[in-house]
Amino acid sequence: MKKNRTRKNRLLAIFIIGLICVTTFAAIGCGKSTEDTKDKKVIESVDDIEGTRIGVQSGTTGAIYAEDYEGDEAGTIVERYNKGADAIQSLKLNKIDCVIIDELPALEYVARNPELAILDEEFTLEEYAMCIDKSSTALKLQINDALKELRDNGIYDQIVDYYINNEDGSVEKYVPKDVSRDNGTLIVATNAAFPPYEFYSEGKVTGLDMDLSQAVCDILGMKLQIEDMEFDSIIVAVTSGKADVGVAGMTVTEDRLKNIDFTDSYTTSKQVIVVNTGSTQDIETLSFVEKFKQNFIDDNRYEYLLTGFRNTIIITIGAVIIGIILGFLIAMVRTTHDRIGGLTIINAICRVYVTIIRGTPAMVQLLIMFYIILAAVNNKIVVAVIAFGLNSAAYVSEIVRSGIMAVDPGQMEAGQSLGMTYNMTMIRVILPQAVKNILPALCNELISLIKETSISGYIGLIDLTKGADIIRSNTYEATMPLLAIALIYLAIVMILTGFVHKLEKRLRNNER
Amino acid sequence: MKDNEILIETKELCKSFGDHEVLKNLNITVSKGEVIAIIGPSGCGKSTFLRSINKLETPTGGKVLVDGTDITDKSVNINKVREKIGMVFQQFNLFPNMTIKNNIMLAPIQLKKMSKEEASNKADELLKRIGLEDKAQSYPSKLSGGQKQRVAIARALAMNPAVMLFDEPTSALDPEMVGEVLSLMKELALDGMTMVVVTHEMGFAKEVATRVLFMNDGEIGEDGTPTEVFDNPKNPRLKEFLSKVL
Repeated sequence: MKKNRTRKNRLLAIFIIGLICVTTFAAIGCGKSTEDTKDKKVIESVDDIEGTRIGVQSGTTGAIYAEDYEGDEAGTIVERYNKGADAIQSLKLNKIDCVIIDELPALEYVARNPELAILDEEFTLEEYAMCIDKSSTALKLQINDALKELRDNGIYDQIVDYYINNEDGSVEKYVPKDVSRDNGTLIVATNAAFPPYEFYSEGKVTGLDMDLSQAVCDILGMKLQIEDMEFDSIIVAVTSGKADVGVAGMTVTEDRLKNIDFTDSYTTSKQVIVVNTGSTQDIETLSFVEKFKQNFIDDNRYEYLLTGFRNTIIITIGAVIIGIILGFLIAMVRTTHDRIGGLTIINAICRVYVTIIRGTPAMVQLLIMFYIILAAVNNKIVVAVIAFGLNSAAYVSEIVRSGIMAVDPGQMEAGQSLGMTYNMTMIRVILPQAVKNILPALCNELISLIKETSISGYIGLIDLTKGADIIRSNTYEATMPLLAIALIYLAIVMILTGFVHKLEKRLRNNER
Repeated sequence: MKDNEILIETKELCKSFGDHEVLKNLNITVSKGEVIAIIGPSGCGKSTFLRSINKLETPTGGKVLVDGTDITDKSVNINKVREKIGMVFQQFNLFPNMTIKNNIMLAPIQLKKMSKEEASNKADELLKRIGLEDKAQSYPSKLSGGQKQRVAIARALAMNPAVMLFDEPTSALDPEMVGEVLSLMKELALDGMTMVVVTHEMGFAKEVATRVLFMNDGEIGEDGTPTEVFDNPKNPRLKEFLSKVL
């Protein structure tokens, strides 16, 4: 009992040290960025952005305009972010000098972050439309008719006014109509970090684009299903059939028209330049408690972490099961082939499989699984479990194989000389010894698997990391959500390590 | 049963590893009740011959008949044949992941030779016979080398084999433990067990064996009773060998 307690204390101590380390890193990070402010370039007009560090959201028209400056003589640098909100966060930390982004999101960001300002001079004017696959002509015409109807009956104006001209709160949010929805489901791909067009609120994706999509569905008699993903994945999702339309404040450009078709434009927007004025007078510094409340309590934001935690655990458990079963099978095939021959074709397949999986990044495998191999599967958790399970199996198989090879060949001979078959000896004699030897390596694989699932956000799955991302894009605060999930990952890993350690000890005690 | 019933017969048995010929056209018969000691210098093929009898090594030529069944025939279920042949290894090869008793019970239960209860009784009986009934629940790592080898012999006996093969059973033992293993083997021989023993223990060969084979360079150099082989060797290589080991 006493020994147990010291162990728990030690675990706790390690955890606290971890916490201190993470906090220190964060503090150092903050301090550094404020120092950078001194050599910051002041941008007052479009002409000044040459030679600066420009932040953009990857795949947006802002990024396309910024590219014209990239690599010029003045040394302009373009930093591409997955989300507009990430670019704004970098701007707040003075990691970049300005952000080129669509006007309405810019207004939102500036409203919430007093030190930011929009330059008077606008960058360019452009039109938003829904993107749709070139083969879906009929659906495109239906949507165009629906958009026209919405403009004529005033619903379009109501939706826009609710999000943009609603300071007094007099305009009501669009409510889905009670119509029969027998004409199927409209899957809308979007990137919910782009207020007011699309953003997370109370756990759901909402915004101007989403209400408009809902209104279109009401006219077409369809169900609306929203899929949140990275902005530059939307067009791929639509062309691969993962989604029917992309509605994400997307500008019609010539490059995009090569791959995809657009509906009639539903609104116009401007690209504007957001800068950090550094004026701190309006900024009220929040205390720790206030920050905590803002990040986790307000708007029930902690629920993103809960959902994320649940999904991370589900994905990990599912992937571990697939990984262990498949990994053992592959290891058996490969050792059987090496020891007693036969199985040439299956062995070759296993080798190719292991080579491919170990030779490509898990993220690429996940994306290939989602957009190509399992394009027809819409349950993202299933896709993630399969992708990570197949990934893990390759590593597990090599671990198991090394474990089997490390068992004395005399063991197999002893089993077989008693008349037991190869399989009987393998299962009853070799594998139990191999498993005991490889337990630490398997534990290691499990730990990397848990952390690897943090890329699930790339297919729009809300895992722990994505949960923190959503909070970040709502609160423009990096420290709290990131530290929170770092600690959660750390805790999961430590608890697991503890379990495996106990198991190892028990197995070892057995044979003494 | 006939007294000179042939249990094992090799016909022109050959085995090569690559270009290296280890066994050259061996014709050897083992009859029921015989205790054969195989002696010879290192690398002469003694162990390979022994391991060819239960197909731990696959012969590259010739035939091996065990109780009339040709085990070089690929359609023969070798596992069934191995059930009749017990084998004891130089390195014991006990299963470290299970208790002594489970080591002995595993094969009879797995191969459905006995019910769990029968296997348990048989194991108790064998452990009593080798004087290790108090170690039933210990793991192999707790045992001395001599004890391990005695358990390995009991494990092979649990399958009620018709013949026992011993591959240098005392070579890995500390000198003071050799005796306990040899006396167990002697008891077995006196009980009438058919045995083929590859050994460097000349004393054992002299005293216990009914027949001694001298192997040299993959061939049988001399084949006779212990008296013939030890007291009146004819083969010059055997003379040379005996002068070194005796």
